[in-house]
Amino acid sequence: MKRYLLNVEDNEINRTILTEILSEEYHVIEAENGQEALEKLREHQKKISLILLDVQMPVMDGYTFLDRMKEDEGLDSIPVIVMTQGNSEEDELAALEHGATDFLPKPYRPRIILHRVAGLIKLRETAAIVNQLQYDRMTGLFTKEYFYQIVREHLLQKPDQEFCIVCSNIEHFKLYNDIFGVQRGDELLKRLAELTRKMAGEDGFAARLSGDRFLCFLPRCKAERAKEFLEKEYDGKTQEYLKNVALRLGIYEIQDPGMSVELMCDRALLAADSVKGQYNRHYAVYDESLRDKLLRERAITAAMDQALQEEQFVIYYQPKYSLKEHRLSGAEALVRWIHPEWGFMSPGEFIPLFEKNGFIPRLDLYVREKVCAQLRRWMDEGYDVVPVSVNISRADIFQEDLAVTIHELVESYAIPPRLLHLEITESAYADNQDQIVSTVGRLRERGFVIEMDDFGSGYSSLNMLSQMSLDILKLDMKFTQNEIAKPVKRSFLENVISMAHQVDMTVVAEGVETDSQAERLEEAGCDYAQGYYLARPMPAEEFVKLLTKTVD
Amino acid sequence: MTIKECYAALNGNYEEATLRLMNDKLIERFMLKFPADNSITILRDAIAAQDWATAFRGAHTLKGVAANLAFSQLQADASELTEQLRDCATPADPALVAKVEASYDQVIAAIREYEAQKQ
Repeated sequence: MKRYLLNVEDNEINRTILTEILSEEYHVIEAENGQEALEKLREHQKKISLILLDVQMPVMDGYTFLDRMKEDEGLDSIPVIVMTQGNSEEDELAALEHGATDFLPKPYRPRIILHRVAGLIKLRETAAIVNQLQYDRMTGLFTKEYFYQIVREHLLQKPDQEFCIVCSNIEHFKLYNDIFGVQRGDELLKRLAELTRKMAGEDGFAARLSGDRFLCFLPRCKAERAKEFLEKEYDGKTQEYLKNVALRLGIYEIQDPGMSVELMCDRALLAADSVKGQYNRHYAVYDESLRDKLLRERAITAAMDQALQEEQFVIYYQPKYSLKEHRLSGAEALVRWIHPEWGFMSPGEFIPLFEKNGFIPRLDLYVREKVCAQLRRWMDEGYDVVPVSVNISRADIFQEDLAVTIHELVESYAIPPRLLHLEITESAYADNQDQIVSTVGRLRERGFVIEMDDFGSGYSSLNMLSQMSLDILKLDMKFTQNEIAKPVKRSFLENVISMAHQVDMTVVAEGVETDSQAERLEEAGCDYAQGYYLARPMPAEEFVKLLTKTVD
Repeated sequence: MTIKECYAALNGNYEEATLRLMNDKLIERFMLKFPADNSITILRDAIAAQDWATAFRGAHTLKGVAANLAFSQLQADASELTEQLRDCATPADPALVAKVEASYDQVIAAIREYEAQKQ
């Protein structure tokens, strides 16, 4: 790339000779005096790599030009070589005092000029690159690369001191951006950058790792400072900007200074991620148990695709009974994972992880397919099948064409939609009411039966029951057990059940574990029950024994 | 008349000119521009007007141009006058002015001769 130079000289012969010397390697813009040079400079500011300046000029001399140029922040970094006449030390000194980068004597010596010009341009451009790599453009904090480098150097220089790395990041920053706009998002990042800088103090460094993730390198004894900082920021009424934001800190205490800084930062980040979704904890310190948990999560995440392909996920059926007639009324399909090496995996371990990593819709789809295929087989074998309920994940509810795809699924197996009950978790209603109301409406139009799952587990909304037509209310296991334990007069059980009946819903109680619980529920008017007392979840080949044959 | 012979006639340094301007073609190009250069006019007018600051600038520029073109005799004489005028207050020494005029005339005469035989 040919760089641009500005050649400022009033005498035409001198100017032309200089341009001639430079023109093979550079584009040369000419100016006859300081005034014209300033104009050309403002016009081509970004382009000009270096200025060659004569001193003695009419209108505006070289020194005045230098003074003006240095007042302008955009221009003052462009190097200037002053062309001095002969061997006047006074001129040379004056040039440097006015801010010239260098001087060269007249008469021109072409090869010297070319070398000097090339050297100064290279120096400036290298410095600019270093600067660019060193600081994050938006926040002014160090970049991750520079941070890694200085942390490495620091650890080498002070091998006998203990340090830690603090990684902070904002939960759901993308959502914040979506709701409040990118500009407010950027402002938030700048505030947090400032917070991180303060946290680093004088004996630490702050950097921006990426997006909404920040890094801080601190002496180990100062790690407390980071926590205190965070607590102070959160209790304060002054910190308005943090109100809609959940900030998480992860701390990694450096054990082995020889470990790669990237890995240290990764661990601090993992610690920060481990407190996501927790409302009472803002930070975590990376330790062995966290490491094991995270490694296990990684292993599970790595294994899940293959598990789906190899059909390691097995469908279990947990029977539901009618309390009045004491007969089988349906089943809930539950997924079990039997891994070839790890054996039976607890759903309590992998389901929350699948919800977090986005795998759950695929697993739900798999379950729906398997259940439909199973129902079809039983029907073909002449069994009097009962409805089986499957989960609809939060992500699926928000899919526009959910009703269509599920309808296509049951049609492809020629199963009446009423046999496939769809369980929707109560908490999904809180996320997006309009969407869930319209999805449920479309599903019911097509003949599907909708069960509201986990009722009583979270922020149960009576409004939800009046807003949306549902078929079945499923009482959460804990709710059921709690309410049963209370004296009848003080229990909500009767009220909830009769309210459900009023809006034409039937009620299923989950987690029934004893005979007396079942009795109590029946007295309260509950229609169906599910739980270990009645039957555990079982594989299809066992469940089929509970079904009766209409035709043989 | 070659460029080299012309430089001999105007008391210049041909080797130095070649070093600076690479080849005869460029030397010729800049040499032929010299008669139109106005630094001598600035100097003469300023002396007539007794404006010693402008006279200094004129002499200074003339010296610079002569140096770049390697017109050695003119450069030396212009340099002597420049130093004499540097304080921008002392009236020009007529003897030094005369020396500059003489070497200037010699340069112009040589260039004109070169031009004439070229056509």
